[in-house]
Formats: sequence, structure tokens, C-alpha cells
Amino acid sequence: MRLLFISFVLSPLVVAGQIDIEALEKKYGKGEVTLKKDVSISFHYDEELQKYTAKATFNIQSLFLSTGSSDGLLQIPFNAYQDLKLKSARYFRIDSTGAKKLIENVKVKYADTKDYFIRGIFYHDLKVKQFRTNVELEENYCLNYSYEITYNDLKFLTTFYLQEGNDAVEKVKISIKKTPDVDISVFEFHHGSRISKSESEQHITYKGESLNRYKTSYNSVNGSYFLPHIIVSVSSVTTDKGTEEVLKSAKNLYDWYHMLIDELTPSEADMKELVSSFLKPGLTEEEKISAIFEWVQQNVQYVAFEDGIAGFKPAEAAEVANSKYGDCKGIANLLVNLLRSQGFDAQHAWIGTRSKDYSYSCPSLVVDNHMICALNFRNQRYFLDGTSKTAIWQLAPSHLEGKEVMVAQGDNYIIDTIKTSAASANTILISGKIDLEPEVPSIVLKVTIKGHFKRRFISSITYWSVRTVEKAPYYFMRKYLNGIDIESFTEPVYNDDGITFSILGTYRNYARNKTGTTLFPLLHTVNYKNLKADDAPTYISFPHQINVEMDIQEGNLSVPKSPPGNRNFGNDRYSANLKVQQVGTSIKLRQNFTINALDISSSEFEQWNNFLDEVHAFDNLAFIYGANK
Amino acid sequence: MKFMHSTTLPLSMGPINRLFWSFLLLLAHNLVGAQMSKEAWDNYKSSRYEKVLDFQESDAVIIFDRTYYETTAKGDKVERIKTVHRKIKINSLYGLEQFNKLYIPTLDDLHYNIKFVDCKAKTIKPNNKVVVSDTSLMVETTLPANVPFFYKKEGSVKLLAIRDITIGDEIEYIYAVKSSYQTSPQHYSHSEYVSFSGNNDCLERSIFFESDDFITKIWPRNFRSGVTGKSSFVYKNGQKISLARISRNSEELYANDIIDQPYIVFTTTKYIAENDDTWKDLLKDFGHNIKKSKKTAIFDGLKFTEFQYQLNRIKGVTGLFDSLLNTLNAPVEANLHVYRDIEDEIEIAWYHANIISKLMKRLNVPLQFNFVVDKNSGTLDHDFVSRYQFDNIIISFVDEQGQKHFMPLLEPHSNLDEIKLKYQGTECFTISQESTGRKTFLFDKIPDLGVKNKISTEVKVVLKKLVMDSLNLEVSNKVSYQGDSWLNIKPYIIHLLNDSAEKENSLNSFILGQLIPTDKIDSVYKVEHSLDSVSFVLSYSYSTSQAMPHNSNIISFQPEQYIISEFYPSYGARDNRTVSGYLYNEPELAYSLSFSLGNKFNWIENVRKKDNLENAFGVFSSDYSYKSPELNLSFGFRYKKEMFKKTEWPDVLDLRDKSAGFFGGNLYFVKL
Repeated sequence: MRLLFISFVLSPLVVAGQIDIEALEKKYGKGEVTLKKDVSISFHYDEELQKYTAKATFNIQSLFLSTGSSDGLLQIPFNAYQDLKLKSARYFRIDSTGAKKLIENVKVKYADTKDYFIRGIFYHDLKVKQFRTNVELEENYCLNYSYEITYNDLKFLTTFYLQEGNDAVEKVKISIKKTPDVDISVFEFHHGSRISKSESEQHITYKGESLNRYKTSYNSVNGSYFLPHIIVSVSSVTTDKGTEEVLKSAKNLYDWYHMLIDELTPSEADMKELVSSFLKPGLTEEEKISAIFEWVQQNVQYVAFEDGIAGFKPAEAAEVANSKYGDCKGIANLLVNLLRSQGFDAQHAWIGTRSKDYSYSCPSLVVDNHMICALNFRNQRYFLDGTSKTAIWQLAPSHLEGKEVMVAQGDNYIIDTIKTSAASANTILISGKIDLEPEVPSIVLKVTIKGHFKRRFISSITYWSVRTVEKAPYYFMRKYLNGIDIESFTEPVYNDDGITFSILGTYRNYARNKTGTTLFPLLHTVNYKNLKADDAPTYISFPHQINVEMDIQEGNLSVPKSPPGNRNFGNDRYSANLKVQQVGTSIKLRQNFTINALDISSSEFEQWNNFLDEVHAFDNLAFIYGANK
Repeated sequence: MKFMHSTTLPLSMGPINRLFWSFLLLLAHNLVGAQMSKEAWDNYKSSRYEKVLDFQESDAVIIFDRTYYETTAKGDKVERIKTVHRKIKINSLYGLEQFNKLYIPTLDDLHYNIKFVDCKAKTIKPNNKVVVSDTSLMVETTLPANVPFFYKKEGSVKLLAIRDITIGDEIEYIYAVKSSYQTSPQHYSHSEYVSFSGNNDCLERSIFFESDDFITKIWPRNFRSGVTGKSSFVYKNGQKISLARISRNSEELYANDIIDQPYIVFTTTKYIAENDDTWKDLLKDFGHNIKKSKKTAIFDGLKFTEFQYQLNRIKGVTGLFDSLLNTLNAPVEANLHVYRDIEDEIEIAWYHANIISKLMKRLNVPLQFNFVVDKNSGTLDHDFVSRYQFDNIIISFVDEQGQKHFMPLLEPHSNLDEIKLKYQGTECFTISQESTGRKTFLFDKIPDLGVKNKISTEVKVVLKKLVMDSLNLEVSNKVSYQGDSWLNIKPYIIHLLNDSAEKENSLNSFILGQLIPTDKIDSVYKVEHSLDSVSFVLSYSYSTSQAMPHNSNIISFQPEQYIISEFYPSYGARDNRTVSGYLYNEPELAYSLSFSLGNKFNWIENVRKKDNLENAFGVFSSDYSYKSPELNLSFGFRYKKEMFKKTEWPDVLDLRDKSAGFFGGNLYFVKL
């Protein structure tokens, strides 16, 4: 029986401590392979603290195949609410027989604890424990390490991934030891058929095997959208003092947030005085909101110093107004108080941006990562994000669209959803003319951008260096202008409806010889690539449309032979169409690409790829012109 | 020009008088000694908003950037207080985000530490309203684990968010840090390279030096103000070097800030030899400190006398230098990972040259030590009498036939007369050593050895089977590196070829990482190579595919899918050129690209692929021949000059544009 068990758990690629590198590389490719990961989560009553704490122990065996790392740097993230204890770390080389040979037993007590930055922002409570080898590593090496994380506050027990972003996993197990006094909810994400679950009186166990590595790119969604993981949420804890709810529902989450807000001591008089310093008299209510929002955007800089509870509790509004910098919570709190001082119904609101794929049905701190201001105005609710320098109060930024938001209402709260904009509201219209008369054909384009594209353009010119701002139209449009050598463009013209500018250049998607000119005039406006099974799902910034209206002037060439007719592709989530019309000797092309989806998930890869194939089949649509009329 | 400062007490004084004068002098010393950085703290107190009319197009203008170094001997250690005083005008949000946080690095090491002393920071509004940032709110953090701008990951950083900044404001801060060196003042020597230019335009950059115990020598380079190493830097009781109106570093193509932008090298030390201001003194210094090396180990543990004995047995001067070169290179070849650290490291070259000098004197072999400056770092400065201006030392000797040969230093797997282009044709400081060991010096020139710098590539693309929505392709490639292009990669290539166990993997990784323009390819086959003294040829094949939807009858390729091209048609590069460009490292390129279309496709001929341009700066040509099913394209490119002025940029751009058109322009094939 015992033998049978062993033969079951040992994978043929890692037999009796030997590693078949060739087979593993064939199976998973180069990179990190987690050979074995065991995570055990348990709860303990701490007599000293008089409360339950949680402990997670990690035992990990990793194989690094040609990762290019010569010092084997390993970083384990943790935060101020966790106590991380590194227990052991050993580096091995793998000899020709596949046996592991110890090359360094790391003195883990000397491991560095370092701060960590996200997008250049310093979060004092986000740290890594890191270590590396003192010897140069070979191309392939193994690292066995173990560590323990203690959660003294059970609210901070959140996510456990069975597979990390760039890892392939040979074998993984996460086991939660049940404790009668600790009532937990476990939320499962993206387990599919790859992860098995078993539950006994004592344990809940998740196991996974042979999890292939996902390929991610700059436009992939965050791992929460596709990687198998669990969120452990402690609903309640029973002690001698009775039963106490921790995070049984979103209500508990709100109660804690609300308690932190309640601890603030805003001064309405100070806020009124501040607003009176910049608010001109005689403004309408809408103009007042605009003026307050713009004052915050222009005067308060986004600087995050999140330490301990400051990771959740906003700084006082007066403090942010005084220092003129703050994190999202501080800026949101200032906005709430400035608007309230003028009699507006402004509320604190918590949200997880689109980088997280969670909703409040899972009561966990991991659901939220941002704070904004909700404004109830003329029977509508608006969402103001003061960290954006270029947002307008009437339109929530695209990274919040479609997300649930928890809006404070005193002791209660409301879960609202931020409306997703229509594709037709976010458009790029490219209208222009290709002239075949010159030796190298010329092209003139007029570009009009609207909606979130307009906000994005304004954001670029606001945040970019002055030197780059001058070329904003070029950088903004170049990915759509395949085959165009841009010579100049006009100054952008801004109006309420959109931003307009013109581009002049030469066109090089043609072949010219003695028999005539073959022109390939379609702009490649659908820049997405086909997705393979191991690709991470694609993130779409916002629903949008790209329209092209192109006139082709034939010059002294004879008219093309049999230009194609109209075509339509796609479905409700994404579609494209092409219209070709011959008017006299000139040809008018109309291209449209509409995408309503916010992400392309793996279940629709095949459909998406078919759509792209159909569209790209027309990328080289040729119009053949004779040599001369 | 040397600056020295000393005080002595009159010996004829009585003890009380001496005490009194000592007290007065001590007081005066403290007052005077603190004067220069005190000036900065005083300036900080009284500063006002300044109207900045220059550099309006800059995201932030550094109104001034002043650094004060005060070095003091403290018993058995040395302390240096560095005071930094900066004022910055903010012109854009991009500029604001660069300067709204102040970082002050600190370090606590066994032999060296940097401790925070004091800091003040404020924002000055255009109406002269001052908003003071409370420096007690400074946060101390480790140097972050993941931010690349901290070049080192040790130590900590004091971090302060500066209050109330909007575009148009001026930020001013001053801080002092104290460095302690656990070294005897007698042995203290601190040299530093300080760039006067940075990412932002600057109206004034000044560095002040102050010390009663040490002497500082300053060597300025590229100071358009006319300041040279011979200028007087005396300022109050110390020294000051300053420059006004410094443009930001250039991001333009082929720009070289080291050649064009101002910087200084300074050395602070207890003693700088009395007369070290002439090249004769440098000559004297050469070999001066090497006397003890006779009995000690040299060159990776080899005993001096042992090596001398080995060399003595070699017949012929060429063979002797060959052996010397191999001995010198062996340790670097065995530890190639240190190559980048020691390459062009003058201190190591100096050490080696000193030992070689001693050895050759004992062997009665005459030779020359040519101190060279890399073309990419500038040219020899006759006023800058210091070995620190040089990048390397090249040894030369004359063989029995009277032919002069050159021996590179610190170039693993190198041979005699393999001198990189960056040193060819450059002026050098040469120490000529006779067989007796007698040395003289002169300014000489490393000859132009006429070695080609060329990369040739032949690519053959065979269009294979059309499967579903993609066309399978087989690509064969042969790359040849000649001359300098070969020398630049030679240490790494030979290193990996010598490792028989890993040779195949390493070559494959080199091809996949360096030669194939796309990361879609993960394996290559038929990998072969050949090498000789002047070239390296590598051939390989790989399979790939190109998307071709089933309902499309035309497929397009771009040459840059198969050959790495850097001739991108950047709109940004079309701006008015503001600095000169340097083309020293640009190889001649000769590419051929052929497509075998079989009976499946026909090329839509494009006469635009036949093109040429020759101007004062270079030659470009492209051509094709097409006889179904074979399409052969060729591309040639060569720069004729080593640099261009900013006004000459349009000619260079013309050449690049033509090349970009060749690489980026589509080749269209129609399905038969």
C-alpha cells in the first residue's frame, strides 16, 4: 500500500531525487519550474495576544531552467501585517545523471529585508525578504526553500496562488487545517479541471499537477483573471468571549473601513476656507464641482507613503491640503471633504481597479486596491478619481469601468457598479487620401479622437516630458500607421467633442514596376495578435471603435481591376467591416473595427483567432493599377 | 595648478601665548573651515524666487547645483562632509515628478559609512511665498529591491516628499551627509568622476573643496568656458570649479555625452608629489611603486623571478611578447565574468605595465608603453597630467626584422597586433623604455592598422508548405564578423567555444538572443562555425512560419524579419540636431537576402528595392534580381566618416532613411 502511494505521488520526471531536465524543458520550456510546492495554512490561539492567529508554511522546490540568473536572487514579498520567517534555503546544481548536488546552504538569518516599489511608488509596508548565492550558478539549478508567514490579524489572510505568473508547476498542494473555532470561507478562482479539491473533517486540500506556464505580455490581464488561486477569508472566530465576525460579508469589510474613516477629524471650516481661496463667485453647481476637482488634480500630487494602518486609513484632509501630496485615500478624502464643505453629497468609496478580477461576493481585503470619491448629484452618482490629473468628473476613468464600488452611506453602504462606456463613445476616426501621382505616393490624414482615447491623449501630454509632448500625435497614432513615413503633423485642436490633428507623409505599402502599381491601402487598425492556449488572456483598456475613411487618387494610372466588395466579420463582442466603393476613377475605402469586450478570456481564444484571421486576410488587400491611363 | 594650505605657529612664543594663539587659530579654523558650506546654508535661508528665462522647453531647470566637499583627518580615520545645495524650477508635471521626492542615500559598512547630518527643503512660489517641508517627516527605507535607478542595492535612503509643488514653482533643498573612511589619513586618496551635465538643463553647476589636511587636484574636461586643468580654482580658503548654462545630456542618435559634455575628475589626497604637474613626473611615477613586486606574486600568483626565467628561455622578441600576452590573458580568460569590470580599467593596466616594465628591463628588451584614450571618451588632453585620463595601455615593440608590433592589455583571447578601432589613429602618451631600462616619453600616435570592421550576412528563406493559416518557412543564415566587429565579440565567442560541454547550448543561445530578430524562434539547427585571426563565420538554420489566412492570396515579408536592422525611421530623430554624432563604432554592412518561392508564389516586383545613395558621410545601395522562383536582394551600407556635425545630420539621415525603407518596406508575394 505504501509503495503504491509513493509510485502515485512521484512524477516520472522527478524520480527518487533525480531530475530529468531534458524532459522538463520539453514539457514546460525554459524558465522557472516549481517541482513541488506545499503550503499549509493553520490557525492557532495565541495565549499572549488572547486571539487566534494564522500561520502559513511554504515548502518549495524550484528548478530554474536557463533563466539567465547567475546569482539566484529570490525575493519573497510580504507586508507590514505579516511576520515572515525564512527557515531554510539551499541551492543545488544538477549533475549529468540528474542528481542534485548541494552547492550552498544559505545562511537565511542574514537574508536582507528590503522595501519594494510599485510603479516607482514607495509603499513602506510592502517588503521583500531576499537572498542569493555566493557562488556563480550554472545554467540550470535547483532551489529548495521554506518559510513561514504569521498573520496576527486574520483580516489580512487573503490570497494563495497554486501557480504564479511565470511559473510552470509540476506539483502543488495547498492544505488548510480546519479549526472548530475559526469559521472560514474559501473562494476558488480559475481551478477548472486542473485543480482537485478534497475535504475531510480536518482539512481542505487543493492539489494541482503539470500546470503549464502562461505566456504573458504587456497587454495581458492580471494573474487574478486566469491563475488558479484561492482566497481564504475568515468569517468568524469563537473564543471564551463569544463569537466575533471577522470578514463574514462585505458588511464586515465596510465596518472596518468605516471605523477608520470615523477616526478622522475633518474640519469643515478649514475646507470652506480653502475652497473660498480658489472658487470664484457666481458659479453653477456643475462649475463648482469642476473647479474643486480641478484644484485637487492640479495642486495635489500623488505620492504614496503607506505604512501600517496608513495602507488603509486616509490621511486627514487638512494634512493633504497642507502638504499638497497624498496617496489615493488621502486625495479621495480631501475631495470628499472639499465637496461636502460646499453642500455636496460626497462619499468615500472603495474599489478594486480593473487590475483585479474580484467582486464583493468575496469579502476580503484583496478585493479593493483603490479609493475614490463618490458624488451623488442630481439623482446620479459620479465617481471622481483625484489621482488622475486628466480625468473629468462626469466620466470615470477607464480602469474603473465595469467594477463594483463600495460607497459609504454612514453606518451602511451601497455596492454600485461603474458603468462601462459604449464603444461608440471612444473612437478614433482616420480620414484621408492616398495620392498615387508622385513617384512615392503621398498620404494626408485627418485624425479625430474621442472619449477615453481623448482622455488618454490628454493624459499623455500632461504626464510626458515637454520634448515628447510635441510629438504626441506621432506617438499616439504610430501603431495604426503601418507603411506610412510621417513627415509632419499639425498642432492638435481641442474641443468638447474631441481632438483633431492632421498627418502628412509618404506611403510605402505598394509595389511599382513597368506593368503598373499594386497598392495595399488598408491600415492595420486591428493590432491584436492571435492567442495560443498558453497565452494569458488579453486586457482591453476600454470598449472602442477605430474607423478609417480613405480616398485613393489614382493620378495618371489606369483604374484598378476588379476591386473587392464589402465584408463583415465578428460578433457582438468584436466586429470589423470593410466597404469598398468606386466613384469614378477614385476608390473610397471604409474600415471599421469595434470591440465591446473588456478582456479576451481563454474560453473564446478560438473564436477570437478566427476573427483576427478573417480581418488580417484583408491586411494585404491589393488594388492593381495599370502603368498609365 | 596645485592648491596647498598650511598653518604653523611661531616657535618663539611662550606656552600661554601659544595656547592663546592655538585657541584663536582653532577658532579661526572652525570659522573659516566651515565657511564655504556655511555660505550654502546662509544662501538657502535668504533665497528668493528667481526668474528663469533660459531653457523654457525643459521639464525642470536646475537653477544651481552646488556640492561642497570638506575633508578632515580625524585621528586614524578620514571624514568627509558632502553638502548638496540645489534649486530647481519646475516647468512640467514630468519635471515635478522627478523632483517632488528627495532621496539621500546613506550607508553603514565596516570600512566606510555615509551618515545623514542635516537637511532643509522648501518650495518657493512665484509670489515668493515659501512653503517649508518638515524634514522630521523623512522616512528611512532600504534602497528598494526593484528600482533600477539605484545602481547599488546596499544601504538605505532617506526619503522626503516635498510639500506643495505646482508647475512654475521652485524647489530648493540643502542637505549634508558625512562619510567616514576607516583609513589612515596618510593613505587616504579619493578620486571621483563628476559629470556636470545630467537629464535636465542647468544654469550653474559648482563644486567646492575645502580641507586643511588634504590637497585636491581638479581636472576639468569639455569646459567651454576655457577652464582647464591649469586654471586657478582658488576660492576663499579652498577651491571652486563652476560652469554656467549646461545643456542636458543628449538623447539623440550617435550622441556621445562623454565627448561633448563637461565633467571633472578630482583627487583628494594627503600628498600629491611636489612636481606632478608635468608629463615628466608621470614618467617618474611609472615603475616607482613596483619595487616590492620582485618577490611577490604577479599575474594570478606567478612569481616574478619564475616568470622572468620562463621568458628568458624564449627565443625571439615576438615569441617573448606572445608568451607574455598569453600569460597576462590567462587569468581573465579563466574568469571572463570579470572582463567587463577590468576592460579599459587604467589602474589594472598601470599595474600590469609597471610589472612588464620591470621584467623587460631585466630581460634587456626595449619596448614602449602607449597610454591611449578611447575615441568614445575623447582625445588626449595635454593639460591633464594624470594616468586617469587614459583608458588603457598598449605595448609596442620592434621585432628582429624592424617591424613594429602592438600588444593589447586586458583583452582576453587577443593576439599581437589586434588593436581595437577605438584606439587606432589616436594620439597617445608613450613611455619608451630602452633595453637598459632607461625611459623617455613622447606624444605619439597608434597607427591606423587598416583593419576592416564589417558584418556580412547571407539569408536564404525557402517558402515551404502552406498549412492551415500559415506558411512554413526554412531560414538559413550565415553571418560573418570581420575586424573590429569580430574583436568585440571574440572574448565571449572563444570562451563559449572552449567550453566543450556547453558549446552547443551557448552558441544556440547567442544566435537566438543576438542574431534572430524575433523572439518567436526557440531553436536553431545546422549550427556551424569557423574562425581565423581576422574573422568569425557562423551559420545556422531555423524553421518558422508566417501567418497567411486561408482566404488571402498575398503574403508580405519585411527584410527586418530576418536581419536585425537599426535603421528605424524614427520621427523623433528628424528634429533639428543639437549635438554632433560619432560613428566610430559603426561597421560596414553587406547583406544578401534570397527567397526561394518554389511553384507556389510569385514576387510582385518593386523597382523601389533598387536604390542607391552616396554622399559625404556614407554609401548606401540596394539591388535585386528576380528570376522565378528565386528572388535575390542585396543591401550595402558604409559610413565614410567617423563623426558628423549637427548641421550635417540631414545627410546622415538621408542614408538612414534609404536603409530603413529597404528593411521596413514590404516584399509582396502572390499565391499562384
